Amino acid sequence: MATDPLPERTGAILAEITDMLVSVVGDELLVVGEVTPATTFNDDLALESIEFVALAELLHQRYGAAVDLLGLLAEKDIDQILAMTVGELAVHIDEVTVADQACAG
Amino acid sequence: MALTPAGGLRLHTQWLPGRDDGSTVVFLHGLVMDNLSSFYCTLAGPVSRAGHPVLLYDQRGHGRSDRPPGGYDRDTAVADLAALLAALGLDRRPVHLVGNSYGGVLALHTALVRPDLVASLVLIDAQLTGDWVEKMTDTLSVAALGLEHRRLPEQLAALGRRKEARLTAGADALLNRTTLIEDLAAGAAFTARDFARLRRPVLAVYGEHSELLPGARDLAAGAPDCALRVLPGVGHTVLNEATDGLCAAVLERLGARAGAVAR
Repeated sequence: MATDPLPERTGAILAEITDMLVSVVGDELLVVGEVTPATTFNDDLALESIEFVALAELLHQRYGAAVDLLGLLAEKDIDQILAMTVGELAVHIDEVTVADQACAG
Repeated sequence: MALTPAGGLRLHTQWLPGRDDGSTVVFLHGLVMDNLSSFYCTLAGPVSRAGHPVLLYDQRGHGRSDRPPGGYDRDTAVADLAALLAALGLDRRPVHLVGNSYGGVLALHTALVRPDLVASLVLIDAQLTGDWVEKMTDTLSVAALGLEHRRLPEQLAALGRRKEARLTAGADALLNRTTLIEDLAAGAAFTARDFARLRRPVLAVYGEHSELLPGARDLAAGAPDCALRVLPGVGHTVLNEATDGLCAAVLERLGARAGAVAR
C-alpha cells in the first residue's frame, strides 16, 4: 500500500485529514495509534459510514466543491470508499484540487 | 456546521442543494442501527442531481444527533421534524417525505397529524398494519437484554472488533438508557380509517418477499391516492438491495426529467 514518502503537499493534506478525524470521532481515535498513509478507514480506524459523511463535510468546507463524496459515491459504493487508506484519500484530494485550480486559472 | 438546533436538541443534518424551484425532499431513516448515511449513500445523490434540494437528518438518539433520555414517540418525532424545518427556513412550502422502514411510519404519521408540512410521501417497506408494534418491541427488548447482560460492546472491543463494538455501544445506549422501547410499544399499527383520511399522494415501494407487504396492500386499497410498487427478488432491505429500482421509482414520482439524473 501507500508506504512511499508522500510529497509535501499531500503530507500536509494527510495531517489535516488526521485533525478532522479526531474532531469527528473524538480522542478515541488516538487509541489506534499514529495515522499514517497506510491507515485504512475501515479496518484500522473502524470508521462508520456516518462518520465518513461528517468527515466529507469538513473536507468539502476546507477544500471546496471539487472534494465531493456524493460524486465519489456515484462511482464507488461506501464499502469501497471506506476500504481506502488515508494516504489514498490525501492523494485523491491533492489531484482533484490541483485540477480544480487549473480549471479556475 | 451540520448540527442544527431544533426542538431543544442538536440534530445532525446534511443539506444538498437542488434547483431553486425544486421542492425539498426530506429523508427519514429507520430505527436503532440506522442513520442518515443509508440514504446519503443511496438516494440522496441522484435525487439532488435531479434538481431537488435534499435534507437528511439523524433522528434523535441516532447517528450524530443528541441522544436525550426520552421523546421517542411518533408525535415527538413529528415535532422534531417541524422544528428542524422551521430552523432551516424550509417550512414555507410542503416537503416530500421519503421514509425507510420505521422512517416510513414517521412519514405517514406526519402526513396524518401535520398534513400542512407534507407534499407527498414515499414509504419504503414501512411497517403499517398487523402486529408489527408487538413484534418490533419484542425484538428490541431481546436485543437490549443481550447487549446489557452479555456486555457485548466490551466483549467485542476485547476481541479487537472495534467497529462492531462501537455500533453495538450506540445501540446499547439507545435501547437500555432511553425510553425508546416503551415509547415504541405505546404506539399502534395504522388502521383503515387512517388510510382513508390521508390527503397526500403516496408511493409505496415494497420488497416482493417482505413480510410487511400485506400492510402495503391494505394501504393501497384504503388510501385515496396510493401507488404500490413491488420490487422483485428482495425482502425488507429494499433500500440497500434494490437501490436502482427504488431510485427509478422515486425519481419518476418526484417528476424528475429524463436525463437529468446523469452526472
